[in-house]
Amino acid sequence: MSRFELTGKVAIVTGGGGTAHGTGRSIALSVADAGAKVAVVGRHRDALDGVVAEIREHGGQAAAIPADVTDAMQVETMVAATLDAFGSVDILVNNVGGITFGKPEEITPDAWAASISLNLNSTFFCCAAAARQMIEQQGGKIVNIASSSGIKGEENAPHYAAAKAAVINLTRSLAISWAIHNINVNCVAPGSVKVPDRPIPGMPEDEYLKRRILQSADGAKPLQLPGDPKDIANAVVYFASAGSDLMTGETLVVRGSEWASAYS
Amino acid sequence: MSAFGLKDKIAIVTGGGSGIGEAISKAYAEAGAHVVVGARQQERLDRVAGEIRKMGRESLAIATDVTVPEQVDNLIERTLEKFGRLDIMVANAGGGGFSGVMKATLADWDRTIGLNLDSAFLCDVAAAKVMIEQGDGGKIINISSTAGINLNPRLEAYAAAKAGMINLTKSLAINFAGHDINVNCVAPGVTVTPYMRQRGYAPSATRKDGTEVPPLLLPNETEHVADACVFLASDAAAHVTGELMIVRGMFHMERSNDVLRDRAGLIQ
Repeated sequence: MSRFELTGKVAIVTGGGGTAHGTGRSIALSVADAGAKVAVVGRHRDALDGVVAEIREHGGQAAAIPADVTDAMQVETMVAATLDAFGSVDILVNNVGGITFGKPEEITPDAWAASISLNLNSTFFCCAAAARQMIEQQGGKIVNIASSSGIKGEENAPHYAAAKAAVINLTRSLAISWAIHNINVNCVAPGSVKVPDRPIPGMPEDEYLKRRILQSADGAKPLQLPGDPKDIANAVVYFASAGSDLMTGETLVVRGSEWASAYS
Repeated sequence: MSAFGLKDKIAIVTGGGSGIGEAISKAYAEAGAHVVVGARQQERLDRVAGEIRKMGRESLAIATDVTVPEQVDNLIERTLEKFGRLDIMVANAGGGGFSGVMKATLADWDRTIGLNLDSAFLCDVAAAKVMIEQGDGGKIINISSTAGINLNPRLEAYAAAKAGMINLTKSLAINFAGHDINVNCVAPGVTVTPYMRQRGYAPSATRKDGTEVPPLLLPNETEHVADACVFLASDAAAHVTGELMIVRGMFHMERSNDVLRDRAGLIQ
């Protein structure tokens, strides 16, 4: 068991204030549950405070660090604030991201740039800033959250799918660059994750309803249904732990058997 | 953290008498599972089973040639007799040995394909039958190799078999998803086994110029492969199926740097 524990480590989890699906919150809680002190990063102070309070209720240590990680200056501040709070940066989980929908021929240059900024630039800025610290510490674990969209494409979100594909390949490049510093860089690519009872802001109603129907299919086994945020969080804990010490540059797709229909 | 545990699970590990299989068997016991080890050499199995019992877990050592269907059936039957169920199957048995594509006969080819690919088919399907009957899911893990992904000028049959194993994993994952059986694959890169270390085949952690090789630039220890197998067998990987986990650091980079240093005359 101890191979998967994170006792004594300091982790930054971006988008930890709870995304639409609650993946960020689940990651922050799981990383804390595994023993790490967690810097919970996001734009909305209230949401961060909520997750920090939950971690503390479970006996963990956490700090809310508000930052917009699409801004490289704020990313520097985020790393400095984490060092102030906990003294090191051992684990970085780049969970910030988001999908918007639109037909490719109708996506505006601004929407394109916004998706690349939110999903790709943020990941690179955080990786670089955290790695500068990890290089000093001579080691660290970086886990990027991509998406199965970055592998299979996405019909009505090409800007999202392209950015996530770039995150997967950024992971490979950084893994090569930083292997000599003992920094593992890996990626978790979730497939569909269960949507909550309430509609998700920005998700078209038909898309939301489709997902609700899919996840309530009678008689289907868990592997045939969308995943749970906890499934993603467990994979993150694995890549943050000593259990993955000799894995780097890899992407683990967490999507049950969803890929079967994607390729048939 | 209990998501990463295997408390009281019943696991079979083929090729469990040495090397990577031995490390997987012990890591499973460490995580709380009872482990059945199957391989051809009884003596080796008995040693591993003995060590597992010392860890407070139960173990069976069953001499098995996993290329023979009846012997695979026997492995499963004896497991069920003793433990009453089966939760985890690790098809790890395999090996190289091929006399080069220009000299090899069809019998040579068949032997390597049989040991590395037929064995996985036999073990996976036999285990799945039990798991489907039990009705509460299961975990199947195939141990492939980076030889099944990389260019391999010298391991033709082995590389083909290991590549076959990767796609067999995906096919079985689709077939068994409706029974909640996860089927995944682990492909280790160069892994230092005790046998390799004894023979002096383990690369040194110190370079000829006296500097230390960073840990990520060393080959795997068997435990690194075992860790991935614990993860895939646990609830933590409940939603992972049909996937390939490649376990290798950047040893290939260190090796090519060595060549560069050699050529630049930097190594005396």
